[in-house]
Amino acid sequence: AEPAGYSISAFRAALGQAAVAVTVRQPKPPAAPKEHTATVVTADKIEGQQDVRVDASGRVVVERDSTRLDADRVQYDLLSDEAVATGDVVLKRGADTIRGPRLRYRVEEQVGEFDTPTYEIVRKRPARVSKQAISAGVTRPADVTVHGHGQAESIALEGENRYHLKNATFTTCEANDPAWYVKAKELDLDFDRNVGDATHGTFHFGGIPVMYAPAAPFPLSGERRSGLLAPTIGISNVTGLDVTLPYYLNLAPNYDDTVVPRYIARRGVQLNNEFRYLNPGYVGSLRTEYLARDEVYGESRSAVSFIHDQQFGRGFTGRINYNAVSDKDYFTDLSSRVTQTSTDNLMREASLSYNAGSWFSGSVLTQRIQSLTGSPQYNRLPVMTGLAYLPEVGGFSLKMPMEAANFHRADSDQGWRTYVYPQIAYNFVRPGGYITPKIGVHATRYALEDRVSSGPLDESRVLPIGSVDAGLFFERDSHIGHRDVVQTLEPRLYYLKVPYRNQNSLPVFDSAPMDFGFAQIFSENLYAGQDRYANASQVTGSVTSRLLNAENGEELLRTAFGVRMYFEDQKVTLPGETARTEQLADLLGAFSGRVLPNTTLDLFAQYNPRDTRMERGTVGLRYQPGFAKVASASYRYQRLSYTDVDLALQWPVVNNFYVVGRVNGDIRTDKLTQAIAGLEYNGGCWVFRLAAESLLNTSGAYTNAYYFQFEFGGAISIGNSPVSLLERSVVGYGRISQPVSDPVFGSQ
Amino acid sequence: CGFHLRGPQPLPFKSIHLGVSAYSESGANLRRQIAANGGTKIVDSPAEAEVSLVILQDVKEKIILSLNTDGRVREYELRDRIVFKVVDRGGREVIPATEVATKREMTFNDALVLAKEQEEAQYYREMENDLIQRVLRRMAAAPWPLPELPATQSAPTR
Repeated sequence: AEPAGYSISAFRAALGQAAVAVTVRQPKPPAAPKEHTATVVTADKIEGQQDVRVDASGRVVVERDSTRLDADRVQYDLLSDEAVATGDVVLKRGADTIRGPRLRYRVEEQVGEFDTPTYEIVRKRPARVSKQAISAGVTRPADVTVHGHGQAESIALEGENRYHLKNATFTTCEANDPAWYVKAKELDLDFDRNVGDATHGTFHFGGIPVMYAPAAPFPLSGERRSGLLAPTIGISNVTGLDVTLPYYLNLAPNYDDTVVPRYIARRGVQLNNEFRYLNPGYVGSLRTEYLARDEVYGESRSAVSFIHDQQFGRGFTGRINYNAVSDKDYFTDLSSRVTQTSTDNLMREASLSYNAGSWFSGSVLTQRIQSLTGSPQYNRLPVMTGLAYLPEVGGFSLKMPMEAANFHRADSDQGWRTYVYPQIAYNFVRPGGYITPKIGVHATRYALEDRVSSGPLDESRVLPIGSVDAGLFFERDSHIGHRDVVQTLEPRLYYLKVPYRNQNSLPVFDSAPMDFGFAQIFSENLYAGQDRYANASQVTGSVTSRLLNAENGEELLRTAFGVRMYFEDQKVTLPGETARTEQLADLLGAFSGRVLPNTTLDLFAQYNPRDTRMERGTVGLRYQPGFAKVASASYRYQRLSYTDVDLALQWPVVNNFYVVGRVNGDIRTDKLTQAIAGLEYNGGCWVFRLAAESLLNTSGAYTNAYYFQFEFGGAISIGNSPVSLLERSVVGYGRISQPVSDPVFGSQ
Repeated sequence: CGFHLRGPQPLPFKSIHLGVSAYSESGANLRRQIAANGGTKIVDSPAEAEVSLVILQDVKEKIILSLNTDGRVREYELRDRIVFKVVDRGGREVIPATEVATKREMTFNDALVLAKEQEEAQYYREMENDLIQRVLRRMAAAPWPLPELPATQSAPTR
């Protein structure tokens, strides 16, 4: 045996920057020189010829960088840098482990071949969280670690991050008897390019081969790659069997295209396409759908959607948003997504905006609206807006919004409306309160081309508007349990004066009454839009109380009350509207916060004290004790129109079964608007989902859609995923598995 | 009842750069309140400031909340979510990335698209103001100066 601590320093040169150190474990070795790229051999017994070869046996360990080789015996030819390891060979590279009886390996190049190995590959992938889950305050799950493992006839190691496997199996199941695995004649895994390739692959589930593919490229770690994506198979009452076979074209790093042939059993074959591009100065997508002949409808049907956003620099941005469908029933006949089936208006608009973070911002927009209801909207051809704003001029702030718009609609009042509204306010702000008096002159001019309502073509309206807004901040220190909190009390008073001008002959282009709530009671007009400005002499008062975490200022609870007193009757109305005569407006109350651990409560009430009745009320309760464990109930009441109940749930029931669902409907008319029932099973390395949805569409009928999906280890999906539906419908929904790599249509 | 008028509560920093436009309503309010409480100078460049407020995300979303009995949208839920952090000149996190979010319910009527578009803008202005106030309260409670820990970040828990 060589003496302990024998170092073959002469081979530094032969191995480039590397150094090889050989240490014999007996007797106790001294600390081996651990240089960054050194190869260190440790063993019970080391023989060899200096500078030529090493023959190590008994608990041999060869280490270099993050690679470690364990074996019973290693014959290491230092000239060719080739090691042959036999016995109980274990190769660890980073988090990957390969075991087998024999390995030939070139240490520096990290190239070699393993005979009849088993392997385990570990890669981290960031967890995907839905936008809704984030908004709902769901804790983001930790990054996902994908454990893939299996066995092979041989594994060729082709550099640090590439493996080529022959007659291999692959699964992410941890069990020795995996629920599913892929068996392939050849399997290429390239973690540098994040792509995989399988040839003659069969997919086994429960021990039975269920699918075969002669060649199956697949992305690793969710990277994009050209090729067939997993087909989707769904069923609905409007389409019958609904199968898509998307083909993804990764044209360049900054643009791609997906061709989606779609077979709709009841209607025919539709061809869909989505082209996307992403550049530093502009980004956009073009989606088209074309059905040559709808067998039910009898004609061709199509849809197009184009969105383009452009940055011109210096604060200028442009946007085109163009949407069109061939007929008004397009969405209700061909889609089961609520964002489409509930659509009545499609926007076609182009705009140029300027906002450079300076005192002036503005935009030009031209907008047409395709109405699917038969009652068309006003088009604005164009509308130009500007805002001049000087927030701080010696305690004063000056503001001047302006707009000129040309409103167009067949058989309606048509023409230009221009307004300008210069305002000046004085901001007296102190730590304990503020007072802001403000005056302005709102001037509007109509220059109409066509008039169908009675009245002149040219009209104008000038309104001086004055207000005083004042508030105080009180505080006190308190605690809840052991937590220090600060409770605030914030009274606010707002007086508004708008003189009366007769506006009955003015056309109505964009005006409608606003909701009545906390966002509106401090506004200057009870109408949205500019065609009506209600006369006002009124005081609004509110009190808000918050509970803040004293340690970090986080808002824990909030309660608010609001009241408004009118000193004069309403004289300005929209056509057909009844004027208000009462002096006391409805009282408003709101509460929101975390009332119990994992439980949030939201309350809103609009109470009518004159007739002692509730006009509008909302109760929302959500209990979310953990990931994929949420139950919520809400009740929304509007005296004159609806009583809406909304229940949603995702809950583990028994043995990894989860129930998921939502029921939403109007209990006053007993009409269901949306119902979803689903079941999810988490088999550890695979997930099964079953869901049914019933959705009221704008044709007054129900769209019933059925979803089923197998998802295997976040790598393979079969069926039609209900995940985006569930994420959209069940607030707080947690995806119980890892996401399928799907580069397109990911967020529906 | 223990309530008292709020006294000056200056931010713990000598100077701050605000990554919120001074020419937005919420940005102007934020500046006024910081000025009213005194003690902190608002500077134009992050390099001159002791700390900087960085808005990492400002996401506005509109979700269908309920449908009417014709299958049309009756209510939207409007959501606004701001993710911010406060960093010192050396890039150390005084307040790590923190989210403040709020939501409002807005009734909708397909026949009144233009009016509802303007009402929606008003809701978002009000929500943004609300969130910026909450950011200000978070900043007022920030730990400053940071303890001198070499090479490690001392990130307070959210």
